[in-house]
Amino acid sequence: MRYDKAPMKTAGIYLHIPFCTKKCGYCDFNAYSGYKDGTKARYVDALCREIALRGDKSYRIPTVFFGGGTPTVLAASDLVRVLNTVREYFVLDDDAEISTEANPSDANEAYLRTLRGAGFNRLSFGVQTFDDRLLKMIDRVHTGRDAASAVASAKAAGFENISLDLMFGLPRQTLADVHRSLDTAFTLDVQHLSVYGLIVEERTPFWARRERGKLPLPTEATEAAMFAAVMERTANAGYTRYEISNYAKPGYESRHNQIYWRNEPYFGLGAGAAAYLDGARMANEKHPIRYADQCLAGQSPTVESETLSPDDTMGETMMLGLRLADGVSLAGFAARFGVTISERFGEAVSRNIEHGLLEQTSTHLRLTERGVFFASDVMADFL
Amino acid sequence: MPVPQDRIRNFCIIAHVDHGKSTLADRLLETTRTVEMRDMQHQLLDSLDIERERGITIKMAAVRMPYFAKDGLEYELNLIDTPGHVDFTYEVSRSLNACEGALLVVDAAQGVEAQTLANANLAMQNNLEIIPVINKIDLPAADPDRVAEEIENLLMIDATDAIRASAKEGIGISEILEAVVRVVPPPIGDPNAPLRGLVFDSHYDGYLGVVAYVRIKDGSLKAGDKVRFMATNAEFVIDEVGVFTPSMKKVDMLRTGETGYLHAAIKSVGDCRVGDTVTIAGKAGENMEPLPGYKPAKPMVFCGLYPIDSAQFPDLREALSRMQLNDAALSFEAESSAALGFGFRCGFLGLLHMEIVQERLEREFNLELLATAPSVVFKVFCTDDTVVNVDNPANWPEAQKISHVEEPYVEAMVIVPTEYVGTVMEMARERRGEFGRMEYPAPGRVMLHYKLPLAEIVMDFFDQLKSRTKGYASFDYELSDYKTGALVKLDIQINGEDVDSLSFITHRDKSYARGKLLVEKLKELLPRQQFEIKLQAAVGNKVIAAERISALRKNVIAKCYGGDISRKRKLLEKQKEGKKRMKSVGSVEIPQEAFMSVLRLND
Repeated sequence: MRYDKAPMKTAGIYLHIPFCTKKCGYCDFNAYSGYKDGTKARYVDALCREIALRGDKSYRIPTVFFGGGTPTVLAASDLVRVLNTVREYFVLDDDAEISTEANPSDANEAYLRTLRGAGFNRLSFGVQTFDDRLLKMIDRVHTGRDAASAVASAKAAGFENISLDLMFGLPRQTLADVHRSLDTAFTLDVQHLSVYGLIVEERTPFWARRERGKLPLPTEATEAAMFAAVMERTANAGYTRYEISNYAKPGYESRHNQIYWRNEPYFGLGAGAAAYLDGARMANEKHPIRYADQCLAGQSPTVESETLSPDDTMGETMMLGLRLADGVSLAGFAARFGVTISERFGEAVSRNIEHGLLEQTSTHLRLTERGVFFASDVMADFL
Repeated sequence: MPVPQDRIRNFCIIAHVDHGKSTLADRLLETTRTVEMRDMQHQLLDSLDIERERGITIKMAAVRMPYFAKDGLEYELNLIDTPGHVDFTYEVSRSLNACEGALLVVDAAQGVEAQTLANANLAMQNNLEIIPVINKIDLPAADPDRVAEEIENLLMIDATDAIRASAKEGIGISEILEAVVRVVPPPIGDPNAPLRGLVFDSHYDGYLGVVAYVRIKDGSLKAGDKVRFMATNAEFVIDEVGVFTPSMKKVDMLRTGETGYLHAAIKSVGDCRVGDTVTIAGKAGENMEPLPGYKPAKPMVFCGLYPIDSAQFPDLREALSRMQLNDAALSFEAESSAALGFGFRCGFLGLLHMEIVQERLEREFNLELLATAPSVVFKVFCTDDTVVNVDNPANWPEAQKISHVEEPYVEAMVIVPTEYVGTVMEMARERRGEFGRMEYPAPGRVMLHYKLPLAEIVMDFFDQLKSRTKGYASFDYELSDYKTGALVKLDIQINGEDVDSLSFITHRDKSYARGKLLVEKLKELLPRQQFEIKLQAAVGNKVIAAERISALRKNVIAKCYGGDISRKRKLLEKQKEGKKRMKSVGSVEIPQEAFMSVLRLND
């Protein structure tokens, strides 16, 4: 008789709240504006049903992440109810990272205090820029001042792990605008920054505007200069870039998001949420009403499921892992797949090293500083 | 009971594209009950898809039709189909040689067109009796009197008795059949002499080998005969002889004056070439004179064909070999290009032949191909007194070694409505044409004669002529001679490296404009890359046009979280798929589309 005890599996949990006060022109996420409170309440019921349906205590849960949409369009009590339902059906780590995205204008101190009291310990504010002129142009409902006071409220409410989302490459944004936004962000003294270059996605109002020639985007050269400025300024301010677009004070890297980039498993709960479990990628029904109908009828809302081949999994592991500043662990890859990166991807590795886009340390394969700018070219070579 | 020799009639139909040749052939088959109405598949004689789609005939067929004439006697009518295009003039002349008469079909609305004229002239040179038929008289725009006048003016044929017909409506069909019996002479030839048969076409059959279409000029041919093809000296024992009804039907014997087919396990059309004479092997056929007029097929237009996916190279070789079984005029040899990888230098009779072959390779063999700019055969006279025939710009000698260059010219003939004369003259001038003469065959129509460099025609002449005359112009040419020209090789360089597959030979005076256009087009088409790209057009060491493409600064997906992974993977996979289809010149990746557009670039 053997007494081996398999180490418990771990997985993150992502919860999707598909509602916004107003949907932004660049947003291609599964988010809807204009729904009445009744629909939202029914959605929360449905989400709790799905949590119960998927509940699995064979996993240890190190992270829970509420994303959207805008989770904070719900009442704080709703978010707390969802989190408590998660606790009921899953086994959360004592020190689990529990995050929610938040809109600066929704976040008053009382609201945030409720969340903090229920165990939320990380906030990610969608600030984008502190420039009101630009905020208006990208359809944001908050102002630069809202953002600053939201951070203050969060701190007052007891949050010690706060992240801000910022964007560059916005219509009419200049390099000087980016510098000013960074200046303001640094004065707020938060632990984490996500700074994204704007992507004009298909089927968004921005896409249509660009097609009509009505989207005055900065040139690609300016955008590249903005990216370079963001990297340099954040580093000088004491943030370490640990992913292509993510910067953190030491110890404050988003644990939840690193699950994605390490290509590790996670549950995805809520309308349109994606899950990755047992080597399969799944996605839920996107539409909140249809999603709610299915959950409340006791049915699984999963509408897509793709079991990945080992080749696909290895490709995705590279695609995701190279996003991390540390890159992909050589030993980790070999242990996971039984083949080394250079055995599987020798040509892609050597070519990109030769072109100065990849470098290999004693433990990892990672993008060079220049490689970060051409990450898509490098990643495509591994797919 | 075979029909006696004096009741055999071998004839063909000469017509311009769309003038109704195929419809007329169908009517003749129906009226003679060779094919029952219900079995008619529209336009039976054209068997290849592409032919039917393009309304042109590439491969000929020879159909035997039994016909009871008004004199109460049974006749054997052999309808020999001819290809309607200038590229296949030689094939036309061979099939005309198998006939004693021709139906000259002219559209009652359109009138005589250049190809009609060229083929009618060929028929007259072959001493064929010509029966003019004015077709499509049912059309509202029909003007048969004017067309009759054109026939008389342009072809010097008495058109007073021209048969006015509508193949579509079945008008005039029996008159045509009677005219064939009455006007077309019976074949002459000695039934007791040793065999002499003219091979006027062939096709390749996967089971039978080559099926040769023959016209028995003297003697007879039956299964078991041992025969010799006089041009190739290849000998075979005949497996079967037969006739087309239009499907293949075995007969005991092909007699003097008849047309039909033979097969003898012949492995390649190269062994039994169009125009060759088949005779009895051994003593009986030893001192026979071959029938006149045989010419080995000679490719006039060349281009490189490359598989877009380099893994398809062996498939392309296989496909070309199989096409060649059926097409003796197609030549190919392997070549390689730094930019395009491995491919084949292929030779064709002309531009249409080239297009057809490429299209069939893509359609029937599922290949995706990239064709380099077509080239003709230049004679390059070098300072060391040697002469090099260059059909590939890659083999162009260095400028300082060249004393002078000659290029092939054609005699071209264009028939257009009067209002387009200026347009045609301008086009000819742009293409270094030398004006010959002008004729007025009928009110409102003009015939222009030009000498033009073949190289100028293979570029884009047909397409341009068609579009600039709204489709009204008809055009035909025949090769005339070689003439000296100020020709240079234009190279396209990307970051200093020659893109061999984009090089071409051009007249010095045109090199600047063309070089400029090419680099501008490339600038438009090449995606920016991680470094700056320099584009240059050069003649020898002299750069005549240059452009720059600035470096791409970044290509990075800013966001990728749990819900994005599948989509981003697919996005990158698509990007990679696109890259795979790119060809590299040095470190510059060039999308297929850029190559295609540049190669297709017309001036």
